[in-house]
Parts: sequence; C-alpha cells; structure tokens
Amino acid sequence: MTTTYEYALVPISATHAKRVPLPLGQTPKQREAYLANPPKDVLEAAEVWPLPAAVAPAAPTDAPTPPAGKE
Amino acid sequence: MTLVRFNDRISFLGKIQAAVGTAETLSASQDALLPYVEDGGPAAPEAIAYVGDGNVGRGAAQLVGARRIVPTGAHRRGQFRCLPRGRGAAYSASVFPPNEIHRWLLVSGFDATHNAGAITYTPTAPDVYGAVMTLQQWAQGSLYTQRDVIANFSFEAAGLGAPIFTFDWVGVVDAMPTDGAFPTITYDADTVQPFPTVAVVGSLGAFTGAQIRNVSFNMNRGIDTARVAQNLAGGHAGHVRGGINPTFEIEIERPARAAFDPEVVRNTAATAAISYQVNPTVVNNRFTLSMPTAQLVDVQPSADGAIPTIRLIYEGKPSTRTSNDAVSLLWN
Repeated sequence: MTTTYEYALVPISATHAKRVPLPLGQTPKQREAYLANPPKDVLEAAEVWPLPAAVAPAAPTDAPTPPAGKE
Repeated sequence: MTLVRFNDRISFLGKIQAAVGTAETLSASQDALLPYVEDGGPAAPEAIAYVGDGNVGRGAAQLVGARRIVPTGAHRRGQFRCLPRGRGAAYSASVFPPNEIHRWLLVSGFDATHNAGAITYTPTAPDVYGAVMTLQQWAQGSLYTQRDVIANFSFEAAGLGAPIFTFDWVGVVDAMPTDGAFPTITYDADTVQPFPTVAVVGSLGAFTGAQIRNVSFNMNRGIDTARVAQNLAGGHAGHVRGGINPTFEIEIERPARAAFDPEVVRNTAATAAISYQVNPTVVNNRFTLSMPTAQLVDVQPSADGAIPTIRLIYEGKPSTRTSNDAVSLLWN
C-alpha cells in the first residue's frame, strides 16, 4: 500500500506540472528540502497534471494568523 | 456515594496511520480534531459492535440460548461533525486546512495536492487503499480508541449559518474503552473562526444567478465491507471502501426558464460545471466544491409559502471514462 496522501505540484512547463508524492511525517523543513530536490525516480514516476489557473495567494484579510501548521 | 460521570467533554484526536493495521500513538498537542457539538446535552458515544457476536445457538436441553462464547471482530461506527474553517494562513506543501478538515478528508477518500498557495482535494486513485486513521474519542468520561478508521464525507449548508461537515466513520476496536483522563488539548488553527453561508458563489453551468436557499453534498462512499480475518487475533482486518457517487443537492428559487430551464437540462442529459464557494472573499478561510462534469439527475418543483422553488440533484461524473475528476474541494 502507499503511505502517501499529500502531494505538491512541481511545474515542468507553463501549463503542466509533476504531482510529487510527499512522504508522511515530515517536518515542514524536511518537506521543503524534499520538494526542493525530490528523488529522481520519484519525479520521473510522478503523474503529469495540468496546472490549474493561477491562484493568487494573499495575506488573510480578516482572519488572524494562527500558529504555524503542524502537518 | 458514587459520583456521576460527566458528559461535558467531547474530544477527538486522530492521526493518519503510516500503515494499515498499525495504530499510531496520538498527541493532544498535534492531533486534535475540533468537533462541532450541537446545542443541548451531548449525544452518547456510539456502541461497540461485533462481526461475530458470540451466539452459539440454544441449549441442548432448554429453550434458552446456550452460553455465548467471546464475541469477535469488534468495531465501532460513529459520526464526526465539524464546522469548515481554513488555515487562516497561506497554504503550502506542509500547511493544510485544520486537522479536523484535512485528516478527515484524507480518510474519506481524498488526496491533497498543494499548488501555489492552494490545497485541492481530489478522489484517491481507484487502485489505492487510501488513508486510514487512528481515532480516539473522549465521551461520558471514557476513552474509546479505534484504528483503521475510514469515512464518508458529506456536508450541509441549510439556510443561513455555518455549513456543517459530517464524516460517518467506521474503525476497528482493539481494546475496550477505559476511564480516560482528559488531556489538555491544543487545537489546530484555534483562532480561525468558521464562516456563514452568505455571499456564497454558486454556478450551475452557465447559470450563475441562482437565489440559493439550501445546499447539501454527499460523496456516498461505501465504508461497510468488513475484512473478516480468522488469521488475526481480533478477527477484523478493517473495512474496505466501496465506490463513490458525489451528489450535490441545491434548492433555489425557480428562475425564469429563459435564464435556466432545469427540466430541459435534465431531459437532454447535458453536463455542466457545478461549483459552490463559501466565504469567497476571505483568502485562506474559504472553500469551493467543484464538479466539472455534473449531470442533473432529479428536478423537484417545491415551494416555500408564496415562493416557488426547485430542488436540483446533480451527480458528479468523470470527464472521461478513465479520469478521476468527478469532484474536487479547493481551499485557498
């Protein structure tokens, strides 16, 4: 079975990305490092997904900033 | 005098398991799931059920039943409800919606994908087991623990007020409940408030001007099939999810047929992109349900006093026979 239910899109062109599976149980720092340099075989095996229309992330307008995520 | 057991603390901890069949150790500061508890007295916790209840027929010499053997295949079904909230901070590959949203969606047959500050939940691929969770529940002063929990996701946005997410779950019970000391719990994104169903953005294909009254959604995911396992000590290897049928029900005021004619849409089996976004103007505290290839399967004229209304039921379909895109939930 797989133990991966979280993914991140790593763009490979202006319109498409590789959907890279993220190992469970990583700290945010470990995950950042993993995504910055995903294993070659993982990247090769990753599904190609169309990039969704750009989403503009912005600061919350009326929600206070909570403690950092724990995932 | 024996003191009463209080019923005022309702708490859940839940963590995605690294492996099916192996329970996780839970942390009150990392794994809390904030529940929605209705007004009034809290509901009683759900009972433990068994695959084999220990019945061995009637006695050889009496009409009364023979003494039972130990029951086997212990499991529990339950319902976890919560109010949707966002993270309140930018999403990333390690920052997701609060635990009670993210983890329950994962065990309800969704995968989470991060892209550019947004998290999109899409159905888990059909050949994948899917996430399972170890779940602890405090109720009536007792601690109930179950593993390999899977769930079905539904939500309701009736009238005005906060939408309510519901996760009907089932899991395997390895040990009987205990007198659980209530832990000090730290909830995820604790300061972010739920939001009401006003100024929602709903699209029924090209028709975007609907006067929306009520909305509900159900993945209709089968979670009932138990893996009977004589080879295991407890006799139960968890539950296996069945198929899904994402169904979106919406009640709107009857529009002019020139604007939107649901009977014609239904009659032609046309597909349409359906979306429903709540709290649309608040970045990082909103969600959007989308069914890009939905079909109208039922049109029920209705009325509320003098207001003519219609109840529409849409089913999400894949865009091609092999696609896995019948439904998605966007948090951004």
